[in-house]
Amino acid sequence: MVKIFLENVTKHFDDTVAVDDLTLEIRDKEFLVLLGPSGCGKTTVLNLIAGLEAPDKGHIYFDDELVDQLPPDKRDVAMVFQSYALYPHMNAYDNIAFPLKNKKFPKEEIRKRVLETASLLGIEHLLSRKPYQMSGGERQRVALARAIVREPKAFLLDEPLSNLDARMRISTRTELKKLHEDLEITFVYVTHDQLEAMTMGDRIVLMRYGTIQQIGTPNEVYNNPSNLFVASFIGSNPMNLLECVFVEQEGKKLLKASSFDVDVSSYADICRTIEAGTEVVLGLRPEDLNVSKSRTSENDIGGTIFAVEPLGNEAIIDVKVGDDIVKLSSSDLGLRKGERVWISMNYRKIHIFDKKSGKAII
Amino acid sequence: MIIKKIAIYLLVITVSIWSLFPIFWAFIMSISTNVELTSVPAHIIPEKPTSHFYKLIFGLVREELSVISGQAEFIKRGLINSAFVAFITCITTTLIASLGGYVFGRYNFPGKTQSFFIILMSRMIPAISIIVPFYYIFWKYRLLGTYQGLIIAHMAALIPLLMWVLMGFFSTLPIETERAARVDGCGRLRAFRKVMLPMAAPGIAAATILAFTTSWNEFLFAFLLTTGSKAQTLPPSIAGLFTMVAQYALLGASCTLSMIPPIVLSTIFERYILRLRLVDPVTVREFS
Repeated sequence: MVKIFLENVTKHFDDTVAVDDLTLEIRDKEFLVLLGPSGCGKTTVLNLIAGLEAPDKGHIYFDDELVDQLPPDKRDVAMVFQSYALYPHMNAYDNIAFPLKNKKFPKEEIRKRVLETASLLGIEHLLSRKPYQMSGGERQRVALARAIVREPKAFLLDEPLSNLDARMRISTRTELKKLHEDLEITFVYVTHDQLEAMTMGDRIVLMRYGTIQQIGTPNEVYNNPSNLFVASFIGSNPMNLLECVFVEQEGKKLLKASSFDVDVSSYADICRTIEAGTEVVLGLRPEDLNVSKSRTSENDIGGTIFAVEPLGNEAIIDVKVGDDIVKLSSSDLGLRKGERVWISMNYRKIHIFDKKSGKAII
Repeated sequence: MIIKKIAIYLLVITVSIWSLFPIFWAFIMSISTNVELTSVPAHIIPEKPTSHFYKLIFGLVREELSVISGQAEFIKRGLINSAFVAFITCITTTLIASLGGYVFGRYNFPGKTQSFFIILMSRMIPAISIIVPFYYIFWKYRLLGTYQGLIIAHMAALIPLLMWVLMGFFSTLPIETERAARVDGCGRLRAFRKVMLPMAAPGIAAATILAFTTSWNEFLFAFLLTTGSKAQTLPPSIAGLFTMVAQYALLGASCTLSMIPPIVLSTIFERYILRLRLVDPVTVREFS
């Protein structure tokens, strides 16, 4: 139950900048996901909030209190680590009770709380076991229990699902989301998995090279990516990015790629905002494209099927258009490799980025 | 293949005999009588084994010749002193070296490399080359011939070595566990005591044995700083037997007794000592 504010925070490790002049407000009781590739500084942000690292520049506030100088043990935040970091010499009960013992809770109170938390997470039967006697999923639950047992101000999770198998990950995702609703605590969740971010976060912070690329709800970052990086990072199947030049030719306005043209004359938004001659990148989400064996419009792009990846209810089709490969998803399961097909697109859903700056134009 | 195997076994047996024979001989000497030891031809296995000289050292029997009883008393005193000095040295050294090793293994601070180099450098200098200033300083501060003096000397020699060993051990322990303890409400010292220390137990056990045996065996400082005093430890006492009336059987018994504690300790803690050298994330996990 705390609002966390990072103000112009910078953190270096020797010569590398882990976090670069970052300003971020984490709202009270929010589920905020820090998302980005490895080495983007997201874990460092978490460590800075926990007090495990001190910022080189900038300040960190919990509500309105400046906490820069406060050591981790005085910040009253809980953390779940990627490796779970259970204490190997203690059994599950002592692991969970450890934060309470440090706070000098009375023995009876500790016992009551540990048992309550254990039953909440369904791990009563594990309490006498040592970490090495547990499976990955069980360890992860004990780590969660250790974090929530003392009702912290904020809950920091560093890729807590990355060591679980795929099935376990999906069920734990739902449980974590429910836990957040029940506990009403601020959650800061670090992951490199965009699917986790999309399914769990109230808001997503996309990071790269220690800077924030975009902050927004899952829908916002999916539908309106602010730059090429966000566009390529979000989405189960990555967005197709095709280099084009915006040209005016014979009274038409075209997006000219190496092997196809797209006539955008009738789309005022596009024509108004882009100057002729600008080099752009056309972004097309696989799910926004349709494929058919016959040409339905002038603007359809022709290509040959290069590969088919069936997924059961649909298939991912790789279509070779000139030198580019366009990925799209199709429910037509009859398509075969080598077939000539036509791709049509939904113009409302195309994304155009400036090639030089990478920023979104549309 | 078989020839290779035989060759290896032959080599191992030769080396074993080579290194074990002095120990064996010391033991044989200790259970022989002086008459038997000087008889010609010599007996490898004594005809009438005796535990007389062990009993003599522990004061269970007395010899008529007061010189021999005096020598035995002298060895007994050395044994007690050695045990006392080695015990105190290994406790204090391990305590200080584990804290130091933890800091050097885990934290970055300005001047870390330089200060560690200076600490290690004291190990690179041959002890004999600093013995004179050592003697002078100890004389000046009235530490010659005292327990605390020898303990300080042993600590000075052992702390850098143990710190180096433990630094390596601490740096292999997972950092996330320590961070978890900090977030869970431990200050630095409490996190060290409650989490890092128990996790480092194998390393610390091995370091303690190393400190004990080194202090127990140490000759040079003990010889120069305690000879002739009430604090004289076993190694200089044994050496002293040479300069007195030669009592080979007593010498053998003293040598055999001096070997027992290191052998017993290293046998009991063998797996810890091995782990200290072979530590890697896998063994840490195995321990966890």
